[in-house]
Amino acid sequence: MLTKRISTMLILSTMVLGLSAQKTNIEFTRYTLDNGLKVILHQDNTTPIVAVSIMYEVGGKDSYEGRTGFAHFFEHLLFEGSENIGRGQFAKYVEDAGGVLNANTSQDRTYYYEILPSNQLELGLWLESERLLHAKVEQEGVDTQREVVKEERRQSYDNRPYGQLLYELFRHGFSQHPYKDPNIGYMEDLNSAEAEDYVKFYKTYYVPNNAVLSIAGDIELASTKRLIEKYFGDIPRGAEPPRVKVVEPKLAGEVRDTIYDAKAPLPALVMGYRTPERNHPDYYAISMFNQVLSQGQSSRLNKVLVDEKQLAVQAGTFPSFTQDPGLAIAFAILKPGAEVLPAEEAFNAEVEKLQTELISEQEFQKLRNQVEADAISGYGSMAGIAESLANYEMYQGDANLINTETERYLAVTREDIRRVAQTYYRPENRVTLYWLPGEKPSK
Amino acid sequence: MQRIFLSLFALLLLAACSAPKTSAPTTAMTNDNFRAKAPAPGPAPEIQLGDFQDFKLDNGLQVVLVENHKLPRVSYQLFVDVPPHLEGEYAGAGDLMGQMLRRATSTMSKEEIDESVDFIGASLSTSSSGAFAATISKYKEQMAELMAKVVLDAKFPQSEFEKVKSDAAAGLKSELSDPDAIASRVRRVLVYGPDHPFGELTTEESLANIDLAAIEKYYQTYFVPNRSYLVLVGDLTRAEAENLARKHFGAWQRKEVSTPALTTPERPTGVVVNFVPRAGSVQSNIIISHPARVEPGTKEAIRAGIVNSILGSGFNGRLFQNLREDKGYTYGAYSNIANSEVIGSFQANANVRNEVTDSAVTQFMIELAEISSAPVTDDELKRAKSQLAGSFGRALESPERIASYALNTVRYGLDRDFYPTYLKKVEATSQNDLLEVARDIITPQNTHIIVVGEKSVAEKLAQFATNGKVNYYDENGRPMNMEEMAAPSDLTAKGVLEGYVRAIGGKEAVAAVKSMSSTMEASVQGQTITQTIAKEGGDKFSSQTVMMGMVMADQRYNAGTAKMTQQGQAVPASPEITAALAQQSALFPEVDLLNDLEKVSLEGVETVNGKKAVVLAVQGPSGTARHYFDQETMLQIRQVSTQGGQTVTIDMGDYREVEGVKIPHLLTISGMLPFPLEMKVKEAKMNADLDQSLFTVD
Repeated sequence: MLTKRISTMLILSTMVLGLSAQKTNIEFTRYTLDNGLKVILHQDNTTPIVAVSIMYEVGGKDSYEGRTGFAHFFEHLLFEGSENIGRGQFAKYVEDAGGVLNANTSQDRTYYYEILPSNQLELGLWLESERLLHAKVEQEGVDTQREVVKEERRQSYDNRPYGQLLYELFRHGFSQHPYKDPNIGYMEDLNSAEAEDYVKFYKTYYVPNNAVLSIAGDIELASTKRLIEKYFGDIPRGAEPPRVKVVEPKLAGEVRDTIYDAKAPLPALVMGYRTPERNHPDYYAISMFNQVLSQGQSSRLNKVLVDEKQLAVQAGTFPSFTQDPGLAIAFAILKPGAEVLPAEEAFNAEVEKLQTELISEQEFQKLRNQVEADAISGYGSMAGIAESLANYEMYQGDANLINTETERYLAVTREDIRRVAQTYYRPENRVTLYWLPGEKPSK
Repeated sequence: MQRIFLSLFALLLLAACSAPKTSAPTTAMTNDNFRAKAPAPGPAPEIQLGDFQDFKLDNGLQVVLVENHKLPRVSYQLFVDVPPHLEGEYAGAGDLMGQMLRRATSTMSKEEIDESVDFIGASLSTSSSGAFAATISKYKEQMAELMAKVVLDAKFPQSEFEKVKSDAAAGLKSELSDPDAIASRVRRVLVYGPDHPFGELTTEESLANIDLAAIEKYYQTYFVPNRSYLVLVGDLTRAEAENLARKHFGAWQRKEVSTPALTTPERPTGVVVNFVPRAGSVQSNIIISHPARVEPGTKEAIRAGIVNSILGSGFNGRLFQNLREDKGYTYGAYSNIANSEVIGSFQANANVRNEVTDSAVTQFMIELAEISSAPVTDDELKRAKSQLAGSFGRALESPERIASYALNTVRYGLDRDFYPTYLKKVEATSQNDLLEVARDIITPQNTHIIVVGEKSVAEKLAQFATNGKVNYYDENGRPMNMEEMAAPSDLTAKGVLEGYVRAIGGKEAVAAVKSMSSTMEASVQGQTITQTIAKEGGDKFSSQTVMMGMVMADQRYNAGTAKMTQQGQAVPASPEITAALAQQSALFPEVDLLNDLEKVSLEGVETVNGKKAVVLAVQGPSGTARHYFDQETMLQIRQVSTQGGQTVTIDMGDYREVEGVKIPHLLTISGMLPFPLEMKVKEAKMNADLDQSLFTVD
C-alpha cells in the first residue's frame, strides 16, 4: 500500500465482511475491449463523485528467485510518472482535481484507484491509461522509491509487533509456491533490482489483457464508454502473462516452530491451515466455520478464550483469501502471564467440537443473519463497489457474484460446516507457531 | 563583537527565498495528440450538503437526525459530552467505565448482550463518552431499545471488572511497546502538561488504583442527558426518530455536572528536544508539536485546515514531498492541526530510519519555518481548495460524516450555515489569511521535538535545542536521569564576570579598547553571506550584511539614534529597534555587567557541548538572557537570548588574541534559522581608524 498501511489483520477482516451479500442489487455493465481489457461500469448518480480503478493480475507471487517483492515495488514506481506525466506529477493531477488516490498490492493482484469529482472522470482515465501505456521509470525514481519501500518494510514489518506474522506463516506453510516469500520482498532483493528487470516486468504484466478497469459513481454510460475507447482502445494487447503453475505439495505433517519477536509485548498463538483457493466451492462453508469461531463477541473463541478462560486478550480467524490454495489463519494474543499451550488446547477443543457436533439451529440462524446484514450494509461507497466488482471479476471470473454470492453462503448447511472442519482443520494440515516476545535464547 | 546582531527580518527573508521547491519544470511535449496533456474537467458538479434536523427532549437530551434512505440501514450514536477533567491517581477510570458499560444491565449478562447483538448481525460498542450501534432497518426498534438499556441501566459486576482491568493492563503493555503509541503519549505530556486532562496518562500504577467505586462514580457523575447528544442516521423518518428517542431515552434523569477550571497549556520557551530511548529501534518516530489555540467552527479553524493540507496532508503536502519523495527518509511525513474548545495543537510527524534522524528534523524545521513565514504559492492554494471541495464531495456518500457535521453544529452552537457555506468560506480564503494563521499556529521557534528511538541518535539532536540539551523521558513522559547539577558554593556572579575579564586578557587590556571592527562569513544553502561590523566608544555601531553582492541589511546606531535598512528599504524606527541596536554598540557588554550586578544572578552549572559551564542569568529589556562560561577557562561559550520574539542561541568558540584581547572567531547561531548558522570571523581589528561615515544615521 502506498500510504498509510492498515494492519494486515484489518484488511483480512474487511475482506471477509465485504464478501457476503444478500439482496444486494448492484447494477453494472461489463464488456471487454478488443485488446482484452475488461471493463465494468456501475452508475450511481446520487453523489457527484466517481471511483476509477484498475486491477492488474500481478501480485507478490509473480516473482522469481532473487526478485521478491517486485509487484509491490512496481506499485510504487508506477506513481513516478509517464511519457506525458512528469516525475512526481501523478498525484498532483489527482489532488489538484480534488481527488484522492492510492494503491495496494496483495499476493495475487495490484490495485490502483482514484476517487474524483465526477466532472474529472476523463482525468482518471487519462492517468490510468498513461500508467498502462507508457510509464516512465527513471533511476532517480527507482532510488527514491527503493528507500521508501525499505522504510515501509521497517515500519510495517520490522519495527512493528507481530509484523512478520503473515510472512512467517506462509514461510512455514509453503516450500515450493512463491507464497513462501514476503509480499514486500527481501531487503537484499530490493537492493539488487536492476533496470532491465523493470522493463521486463512492466512489459509482461502491464498489458490490457491482464487488467480489469472498474468504474463506479456519477457517470453516464454511453459517454463513459466512448472515453474508455478513446484512452484504452488503441493500447496494444500483450502476450498472455505467465501464471504461477507451482502446485504446493501437502504438508508432510504439522509444522511447529517458535518465533521470537523482540517487539511483541505479549505471546501469541498463530496458526495457518492449508485450505483451497478463493474460488473453491468449499470457501463458503469454511468462511462460515470461521464466523462461528470469531465473528462477534458471542463467537466461540471470543467467549471461551477471551471471556471465560481469560487466556487471550484477542482472538481472530480468517478464511484463506488467495487465488491459489493458501492458509486459513487463526490467532490468539495472550493475556500477560498466560502460557501458549493452554490456549492451544482450548482452541483445539473448540475445533474438535465443530468436527463432532453440528452447530445449533440458533447459532446457524445467527450466521445467516450476519450474512444478510453484511450483504445489505456492505456497499455504501463507490470505491468499495468498484473494488468488489474488480475482485469478483478477477478472482472468480464473474463480477455478478457481488449480487449472487450470498446465495452460495445461504446454501451452506450445518453439515457442510462440520465437514470442512473435519476435512481441513486437522493438525497435520497446519502450521502452529508459538510467538514469543524477546530475543531468541542463545544455545 | 562578543555579541552580534543579525537582523531577524533579513534572515527570514533569506530563508524564504533560498529554499526553492525542488520539482523540476515539466518538459513540454512536442507530441500533439490528446494523450500529451491532461484532459480538461467538465462543468463542476454542485455539492449539496445533506440537511439535518434536531430537537430536544424535556430532560435536555439533544437529538440529531440525518435521514438517508439509500440503503436499508441505520446507525445510532449517543455522545456524552464529558467535560475534560483530571482523574489523578485513578487516571484511566473513564476508559475502563467505557469498557464496562457493555457488560451488564440489571437484567442481562454480557453473554446475553453479545448474543442479542450478534444474532441480528448488528454492532454495538461503548466508550467513556457514550455508545455507537449499527444495524439493518428491520431491527431499528430492537437496536435502539438494546442500546438504551445498555447505557441507561448499566450494572458493574465485580467479576466483569476483573476481566476489564486485566484486559486494560494487557492493552497498556502492548501500547508501551509500540513506538507510535509511546511518541503520542509523551507528546501529550509535553504539549499539555501532566496536570492538564489532555496530558494525563494512564499508567500501570494508576490502572492498579482503579476500583469499582471509581468506575461507578464516573458513570453517575457524567452520564446525564443534559450533556448528551443522540445522533440518529439512515433509514429513519422524523416521526420514527422522535418516537425512538422519547420512548427509550425520555425517562433518563437530568443532573447537573460541574466543569472544572483548567489551566491553559503554553508553548515552550524556545525549542525543546525530548528523547525517549527505545532499545533496538530501527526507526526514529519524530513528532514536532506544541499547543495552539484553534476553536472549532471558526474561520481560523477553516484556514488552519487549508494550511495543514498544504503542509502535511497527502502526496503533495510539502512534508511528504520533501521527506519522502525528495529525500526518501520515510514512508510518509504528515502534519495535523487539532482544534478544540479547550486547547488545540499543532503536530508534524514521520518515522525515519535511525541514520537520518537529525537530517529529517532539519527538513521539518525548514518546512515549518517556511510555511509560517512566507505565503503559499497560488498553485498550492488552488490545489488545497479543490482538495477540500473534493473531500466534501466524497463525504456526501457517508451519512455518518454528515452526522458529525450536524453534531458539531449543535454541540458548538455554530451558525446553521457554517457547514453548508463551508466551501464558500474556503474559496474566499487568501494567501494572506493563511500566512496570518500559519504564523500564529506553527511556531518552530517555540516547539517540542519529540523522538522515540535508539539512544545513540539522541545527542545529534541537541543542536536543535535552544538550551543545547536533550531531555530524556520514559514512555510515561517522566524525566529520566536528569542531571541535577548545582553551582559550586564558592562561586558568585561577580566572581564569574571577573574571571571572564581575566580570561580574555585582563582589565587593562579591555579598557584599552576604544573601537573594534570585524568581518564574518557564513554559508547559507550554498550562498556566502558576509557581515561587517564596526563599534566605537560604546555608543556607535554599524553592521552591513551582504549576500550575492546585495546588501540584505544595514543597521546603525549613533548615540541614541538608530537606522535600519532591509534590502534597500528603510525600516521605520521603533523603540525596540533603537534599544536592540544600542545594546549592540557596547564593546564588551559582559564586562559592563560588573557595573550592573543587580541584574545578574548565578543559576548553576550545566553541560554545554560536553564542557561544564557556569550559567549567569541577566535581566534585560527583552527578557532574561543566559550566559554560559566554561568552568575551566572562564571564557564565554554560549549565550541564549530572545530577539524579536525568537529564542536565539549563540555558541562561541575558536578564541584568538587580537591586540591583547581574546575574541571568539567562530559563532554558531541557532534558533534564528531552521538550521544552525556558522559565522567565521575572517578579520578582526582593535583601535583601527574607522570610516566615520559608517555611523551616519541621517
